[in-house]
Amino acid sequence: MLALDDVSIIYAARSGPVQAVSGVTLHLPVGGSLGLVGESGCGKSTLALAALSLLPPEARLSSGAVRLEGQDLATLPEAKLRRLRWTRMAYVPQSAQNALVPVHSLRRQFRDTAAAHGMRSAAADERAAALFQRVELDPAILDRFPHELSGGMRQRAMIALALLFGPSLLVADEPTTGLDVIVQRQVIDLLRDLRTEDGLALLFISHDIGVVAELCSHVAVLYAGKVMESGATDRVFSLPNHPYTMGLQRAFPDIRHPERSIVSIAGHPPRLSAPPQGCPFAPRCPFAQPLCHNTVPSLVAGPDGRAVACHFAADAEALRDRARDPALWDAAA
Amino acid sequence: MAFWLYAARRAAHTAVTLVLLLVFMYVLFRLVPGDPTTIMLGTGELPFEAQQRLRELWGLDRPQWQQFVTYAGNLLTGDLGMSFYFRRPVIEIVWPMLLNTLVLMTPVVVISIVLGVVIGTWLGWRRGERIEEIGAILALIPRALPVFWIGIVLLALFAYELRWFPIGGMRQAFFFPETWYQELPFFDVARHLVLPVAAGVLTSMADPLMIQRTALIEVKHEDFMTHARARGLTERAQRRLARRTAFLPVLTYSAIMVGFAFGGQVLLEVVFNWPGIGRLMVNSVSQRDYPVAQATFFLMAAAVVTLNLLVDLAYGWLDPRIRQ
Repeated sequence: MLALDDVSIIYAARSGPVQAVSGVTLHLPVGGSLGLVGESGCGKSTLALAALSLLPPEARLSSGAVRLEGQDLATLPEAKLRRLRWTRMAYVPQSAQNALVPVHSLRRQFRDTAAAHGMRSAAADERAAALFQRVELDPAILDRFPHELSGGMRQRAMIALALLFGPSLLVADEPTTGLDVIVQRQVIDLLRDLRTEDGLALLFISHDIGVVAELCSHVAVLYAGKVMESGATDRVFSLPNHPYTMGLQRAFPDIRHPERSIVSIAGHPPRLSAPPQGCPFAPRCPFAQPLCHNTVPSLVAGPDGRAVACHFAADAEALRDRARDPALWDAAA
Repeated sequence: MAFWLYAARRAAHTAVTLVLLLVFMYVLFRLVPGDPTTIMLGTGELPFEAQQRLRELWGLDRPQWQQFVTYAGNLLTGDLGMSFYFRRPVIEIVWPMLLNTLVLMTPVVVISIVLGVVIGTWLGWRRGERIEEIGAILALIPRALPVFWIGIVLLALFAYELRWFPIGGMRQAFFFPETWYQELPFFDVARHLVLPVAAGVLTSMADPLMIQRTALIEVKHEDFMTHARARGLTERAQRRLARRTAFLPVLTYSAIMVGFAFGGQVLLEVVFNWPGIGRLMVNSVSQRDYPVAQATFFLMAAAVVTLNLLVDLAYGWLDPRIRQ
């Protein structure tokens, strides 16, 4: 369905080039679901935009390829790419508030999208009403303007808009950010239903590993624009092999272990304009050895379909034991 | 529904503004030393009894508030008093001049905004290209020049040298059409309009143009533009969307621009000898024709206030967020 091969993306910033993503390889099968997790600024959203071939002019795919159903998006002419957008791949952005056109009614936005792909207004109205029922919104809301709706309604309307042409891939970039927990839950349930009932392939971006664990069968943990660890979600989160994943896990409340305290990872992600020489996580890693600061570990695939980029992946079990101690994370950095 | 409520509220604001304006004008002209009996009769001494008789006749002996109520009542029925200079009702003198002014003003304002928005969008969309930098500078040059200077240059070039257009005025006396297009009903007025409208547009266009350009550059980076691209909208549709959203600040400005245009109008009318209200205003003040001056001031101010109302209504129509 969607394949990213060794993708690197460079932003031309005023202070010099910034390597936002380096050498990321991801694979999302038809009807599959892949979660991208990581802290802010780890390249998640940039990867989402790259997957849709929507990178801003200052960003450049410096290596690798993004393929949708086998077609290299970078080599497609703009006109073909335009017709592919929304019919094959749709996008639910982070903030529905800012992504909906403020001066048009929702109906108008459905109609304009439909018109871009040769669908008549009458057909678009009919489809919009059906989709609104699908996302449990009153079709009468179609004549409202974005500012007249609540955050949850806007996000549902956004999802309905994404389904206009029944795409086979949905890229959702933190679709629940800024919503209250009840509405978050509703949006997540809706996405899960769409995945299981409509067979939509889902690329889901979030910093919340709990939500990713619930929605995605596979996950890739990103740090400083690189994949630290990837594999089946339940395996990765139950037996993390990378210290960063272990740290992330400790940073979220766990409903199965409510007695565990929440511990943050001390320090900040590296500046991507001047990345560290060795492993990007080494400066914050409580297990870092001299080797880690000098040599970049490569992403090594294991036997169970998992991959990890850590020099000490072989000792993962021992590291997991040590990672349980909250004091360890405070001491680092 | 929300829109009509908004419209009604704005209309009420405008009515209050107009009443305040009226009071202000009335007071302002009462502050002029002397009263109409002395002004009208020049320096010649009039017997005290005769002055007194005239005051009674014109109601000047009554309290100011009564005089104001009479004035305002007369105004509502279109009675603006008598001109000292022309010895005719003010309304007969002012009304045709006001129409002439609107004939000149309307195309200046409309063409300035339309051209400004179109060119501003075009430049903003090409942000960072060489053509965008050059275009922005070219648009700003006429903005920096006085409107009367541009008018004189246009006259020197296209009226005196090339003789393409008439030298000034609004109509040619004894104009005899020679070809079919010259027989078109407004041909003579239209050819008189070309140069003054061009001068007005050249000076007024830069502001809406630069505002539209800046707003468009900002809008281009909004999330909804990325989303529009993701939805597969054509480049034309994307640009239309950006233009539509970026237009809102231009609309806000156009209310101010109308005020400025009325100011510049006076110069434009003098340079091009256009028989409009601006020239009438200048003349009536120098002739101390106070009823006419008062009427022109009030009508101009009322026109600006009314146009502001129209702009506000258009804003409410174009930006649903404002109706709240």
